[in-house]
Amino acid sequence: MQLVGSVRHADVLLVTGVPNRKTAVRLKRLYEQAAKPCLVVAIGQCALGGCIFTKSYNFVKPVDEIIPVAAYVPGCPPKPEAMIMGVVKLLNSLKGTK
Amino acid sequence: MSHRTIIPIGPYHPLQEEPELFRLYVEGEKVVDIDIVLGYMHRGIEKLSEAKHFDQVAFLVERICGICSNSHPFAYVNAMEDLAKIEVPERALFIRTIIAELERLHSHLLWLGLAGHFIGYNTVWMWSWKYREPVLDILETITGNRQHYAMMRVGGVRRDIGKEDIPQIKKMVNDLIPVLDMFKGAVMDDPVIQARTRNVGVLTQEEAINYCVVGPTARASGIAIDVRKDDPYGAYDKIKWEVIVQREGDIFAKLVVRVLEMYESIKIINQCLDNLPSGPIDANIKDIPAGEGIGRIEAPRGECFHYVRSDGTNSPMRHKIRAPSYMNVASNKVAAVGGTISDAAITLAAVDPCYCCTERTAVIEKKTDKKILNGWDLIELSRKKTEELKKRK
Amino acid sequence: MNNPIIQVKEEFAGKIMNFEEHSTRRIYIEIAPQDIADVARFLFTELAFRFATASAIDTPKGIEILYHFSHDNSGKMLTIRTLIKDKKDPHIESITPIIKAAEWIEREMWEMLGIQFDHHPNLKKLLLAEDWPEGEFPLRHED
Repeated sequence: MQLVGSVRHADVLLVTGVPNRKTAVRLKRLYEQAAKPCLVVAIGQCALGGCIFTKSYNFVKPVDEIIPVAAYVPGCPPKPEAMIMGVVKLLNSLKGTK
Repeated sequence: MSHRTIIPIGPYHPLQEEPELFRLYVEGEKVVDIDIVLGYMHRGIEKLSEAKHFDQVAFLVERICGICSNSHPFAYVNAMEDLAKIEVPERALFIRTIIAELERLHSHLLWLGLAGHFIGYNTVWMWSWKYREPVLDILETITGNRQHYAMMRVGGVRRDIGKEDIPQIKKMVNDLIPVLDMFKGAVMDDPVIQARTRNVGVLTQEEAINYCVVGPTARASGIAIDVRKDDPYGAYDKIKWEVIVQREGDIFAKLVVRVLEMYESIKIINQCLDNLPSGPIDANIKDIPAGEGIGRIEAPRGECFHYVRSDGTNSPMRHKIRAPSYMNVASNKVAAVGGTISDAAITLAAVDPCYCCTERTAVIEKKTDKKILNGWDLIELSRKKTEELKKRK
Repeated sequence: MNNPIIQVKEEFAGKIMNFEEHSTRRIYIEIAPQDIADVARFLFTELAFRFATASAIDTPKGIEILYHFSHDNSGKMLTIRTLIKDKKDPHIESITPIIKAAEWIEREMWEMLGIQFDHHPNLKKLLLAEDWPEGEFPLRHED
């Protein structure tokens, strides 16, 4: 997995953390700037939407209500093995293999 | 055993365009001003705390930060124990200290890697993150998790350290000593790294005092403060160790402080394991009276401060949290200004904020007010400078 | 080693409204809001206390601000407590001109509780979004 400097060169967008009032708009804008197809992987309980910060005054919406999410990796935090497995499962599902 | 290469895929923020965390105003090559914009991680935790029971708050504050996830619960339980004048069993104090020092080790190793990454020494980056893995493995063995250990509870700790685990922990920390020796030689004695970090990003002692900085940032500027010595907690006043201080206030001094502190952490862990008292690990607290308490601990980045007020119910009436970086990051106003753009990335990183902070940087040409560079560009410039220096040596 | 605390008590003898020693290393002194600048200056410039942070609390009696100072040599935490009775338009002198390190926390207390810090050099939002509704202060308790 290679990290790139600009979202325009990215095939996959890994999203961690919970969108707040400052970041939610930027997240949407960032996704719109990405060359499609760009797959979004939500990593960690916060990005999945069901975390301890949902009752905060600064919480907006879960990530998948802002941008489309292709894969979810639960955990707080998810173990590295889980993250890798999530991405691998996603890639396999695209190739049509299990 | 397959050797896992862990790819740094978090805590990255999906932000690269504006608004930036650091707006550096430049004239030519020089940074003339800096504007620091915060709020991207603001989750309203102080308010959330008021709706949680006292025993739930520890889990909440653990998640303030993924790197020092132990520091906040530790400061919080100290605040509660100050409030209610609770005496924590000795064994729990020692276990708390061991976890806290393991956290300091993995946090400083993380920083070492990032610093290497920013100045273009990717081998340093890979090595320090490789040697960080055994520390996380030990934490996982003791607590069940690499981060968010859920060890702290008001009045004690949640889990014991088994006798059978002690040899493994000792072996792991002692195996780090030759690794640190290697880093000392390869990193601190390297002439190019010295050229990149000596006299760069200097925070004078006077400015360090004005900005009330804490932790390695303060100690690198000659200010000998360390909560573990000044306002002891845990087992720190029951064992022998030294506070590490340097004078120059530059990035090299901050590097030296962190590397030498890791040796002290290993000393502390060994002594705690050798002298682990027997007995209960929890004071079994059932009620919290009305009152107020202050707890502070020396997190890897400096003094982590919690204030809690109780009105006699089950939840905090007010919970004030102040992380060390809150003080340290503000000092970049003086440390980064006057330097060059190519030194900006490493200067901002030197106070050890979390990675996403230095990621989201923008450089603005002061006269035109136009954004000309972003965070990735700054890292590139930093690496280019190192290459230039290497060619000259 | 009670020296710095004794010095504070002597310097502000007539102005200390309440003195509480919760433990040897946790001391609380209450003063009137108009005395905060003098006390902060004395602690920071004369006695070399370090400013750790400040906590503001919405209470039924008014807005309470706690300024937490650390005397690192002795390990004592001295908290200066003051109560602003006017909750509709709370004002207090900013200590940022005296202690640069107070700039951010005063901005945060302003945006979270609506306290005006008079003569603050840069009183603008620190954490909340630009489009956060005016007049809504997250840490105020709704009556």
